[in-house]
Amino acid sequence: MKPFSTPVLALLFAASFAVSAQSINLTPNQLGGGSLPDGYDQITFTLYNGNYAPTVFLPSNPRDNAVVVLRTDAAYDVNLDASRTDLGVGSLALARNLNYSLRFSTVSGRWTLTGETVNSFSPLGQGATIPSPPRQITYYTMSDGNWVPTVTLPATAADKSVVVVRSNATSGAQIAATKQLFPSTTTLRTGDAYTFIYQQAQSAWTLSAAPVRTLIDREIVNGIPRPTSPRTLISFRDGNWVDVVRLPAIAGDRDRITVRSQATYSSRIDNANVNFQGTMQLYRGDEYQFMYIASTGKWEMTASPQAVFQANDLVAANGALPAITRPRTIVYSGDGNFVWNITLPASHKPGDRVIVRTNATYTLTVRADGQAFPMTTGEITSFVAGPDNRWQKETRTIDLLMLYSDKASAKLGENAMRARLVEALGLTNDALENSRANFRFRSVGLRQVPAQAGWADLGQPLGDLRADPTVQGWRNQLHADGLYYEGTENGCGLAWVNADAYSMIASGTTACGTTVMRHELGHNMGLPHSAGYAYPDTIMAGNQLPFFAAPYLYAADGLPLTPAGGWNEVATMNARSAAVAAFR
Amino acid sequence: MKKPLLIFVVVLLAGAGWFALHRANEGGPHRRPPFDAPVEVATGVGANAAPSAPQAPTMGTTAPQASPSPPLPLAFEYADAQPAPDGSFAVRWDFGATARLHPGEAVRVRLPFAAEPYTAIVQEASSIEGTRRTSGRLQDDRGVDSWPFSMTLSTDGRYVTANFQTGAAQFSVEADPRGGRLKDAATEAARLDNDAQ
Repeated sequence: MKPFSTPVLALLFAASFAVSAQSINLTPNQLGGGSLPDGYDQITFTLYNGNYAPTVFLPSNPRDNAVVVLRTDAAYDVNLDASRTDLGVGSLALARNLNYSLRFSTVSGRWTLTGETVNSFSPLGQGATIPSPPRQITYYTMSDGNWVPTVTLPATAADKSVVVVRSNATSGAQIAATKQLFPSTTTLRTGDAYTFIYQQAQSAWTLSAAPVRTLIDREIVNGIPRPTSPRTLISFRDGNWVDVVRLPAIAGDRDRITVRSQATYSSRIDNANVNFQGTMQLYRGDEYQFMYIASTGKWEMTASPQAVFQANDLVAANGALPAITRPRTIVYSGDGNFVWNITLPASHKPGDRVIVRTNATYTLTVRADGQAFPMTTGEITSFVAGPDNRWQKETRTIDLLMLYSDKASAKLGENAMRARLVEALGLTNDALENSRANFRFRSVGLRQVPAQAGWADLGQPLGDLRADPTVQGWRNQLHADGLYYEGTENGCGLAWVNADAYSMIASGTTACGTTVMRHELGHNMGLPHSAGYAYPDTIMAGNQLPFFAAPYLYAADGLPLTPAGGWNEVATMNARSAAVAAFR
Repeated sequence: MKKPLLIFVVVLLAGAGWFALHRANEGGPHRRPPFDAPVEVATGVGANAAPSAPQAPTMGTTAPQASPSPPLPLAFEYADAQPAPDGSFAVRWDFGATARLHPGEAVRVRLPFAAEPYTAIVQEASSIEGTRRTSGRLQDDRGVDSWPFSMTLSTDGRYVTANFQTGAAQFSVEADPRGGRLKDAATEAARLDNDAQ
């Protein structure tokens, strides 16, 4: 069911707006936002200062050949939800003072862009090289009789320009590596479409979308062949399965392979050609992702599954964990789910990791290779098998006292505030795990504090709580190395950078989400904002991805999270963690 | 996909049976605690994942044939009728269903900037400070990508805070029985600040 599709709403529209038989002129103020209605052959949607929406959503159930014309003259940025277009991008920033025209095809189920922001090229018109600089959007289309063996991307373009190269020709073709930031495997087959985004900072194009080649068992039984696209998917089911998966020795730079399974039988992923020598078994429900790095000639494992055990599962074996099956094994312990000793398995490979999380009242001890590591309630500790295949403790614990104000509690409720802080701490530790940091945070208390009358901005509690006798008393009693405060003051998040023991406090507000904590604690641990020194969406540079920047981590587009000459945030925090963990 | 009749849309549909697609191992039975203490529960995918079928053939043509899978419910959907002026979307959340989600189960999640719904596969569920935190991966069914998601349900089961990472954005959700909002967290990035000591 669509909005505005009922007779009543249609009548309201007819009465309110200037409506012709099948077309309508609309603005955000008329719609109350940027969602365009169904039911029209043409919509002209105009945005300007005072009549603005941040995002435009196209009609979700349009007629065949329906047309939408967009134009923004607003000072603020406007994005188009482009997920139902044929561009191969999720969203598109609309340039000011230009008209965008989109037409819908029920055959393709997609919107196609035309107009003054769009080039539509083909080999017969423009040859094998797409001219530069192109308009914001370029379609380059090949077909039988209008084909070249190799297509070359524009030499230059405006930042974030989009080029879509597609082919319906019978003969195959290539997209030249020239001007691609990473020369991945860009082979064009009939029906293929590739989308590239221009990165002005690198003066090169990166991939946004590519055809997915799905391989089946008989194609990989002797190993996965060299990819024919940057995106290869292997998805096992019963009847489509092999027992050993071997990644190819050679691939295009930043080619990616995903291996999933819903099969009854398990498989093993061979370590050959992979920059990980640990255990990689593939069970039903598991998923591994790999990205080929041409400079090392290895596949990086960018996502992997985990095996999970309860402490109670280990009671019968006196706490002995069974043989490792995945790159990461997690053991939960708590009251009622407890063993006194957990013994890490003898059967493992270098790089395998075991993470023990305990909420038990009593201390448990992790034992491995003649070593004993006691763990107390609330701790999350990671153990890794080193190059010598001996288990070693990978992480230390930094204790946090988490505070919320009485005003925040009055606004959202006591239970909501506690849930927010639990989720925020979980996101923070997830990010530290993703980034392979050498420490984790532990909550040693969740307490309410009165918001003082003078606390208008976060700067006030951030300063005052350092010397608040009650809070500092709690901190000493609980041995909290640091504080995190969430209130209702103005702002989103604020923290001291490179904090000493006195100033080890970060803060957030209920006006913002739960990803704030990981960013602000990053400040406490020594990190500034890293725009320009790290991948744009990492935690300290936009806070969209659950990673701190490090040179061994990669974004989906292939860029390292720390570029050459950039800031290794994980190394910075790791260097401080021992000192911070000793604050109390 | 048709838009919903209501301004906000359906969410985690009720009924644990709906979610039983990939129900996996959840750990062994609870034993009597070794002391008089509250029970702590945590579950996860792959517990006791015993090596299966060591005599399995090397290629799948002789492996068991697939049985039809039950359809996945459309579990959570943003209200695509009218985003608010701040860019957020109204949502409605089924708190009972959230409490019943188990590792190995999968639900459909529809989010902005994606033409098709994602499949959210639950990997872990744990009880922390009386809350229930569930986390897992959000899969793009037609592509090679997946991203993390997590949600925490309050002790009284009447408030949820959730985060969904996708290739296009980081979305946050806050909901209580009166309703909820889904926001693109990118709007917050410019408001995060720091102080020098």
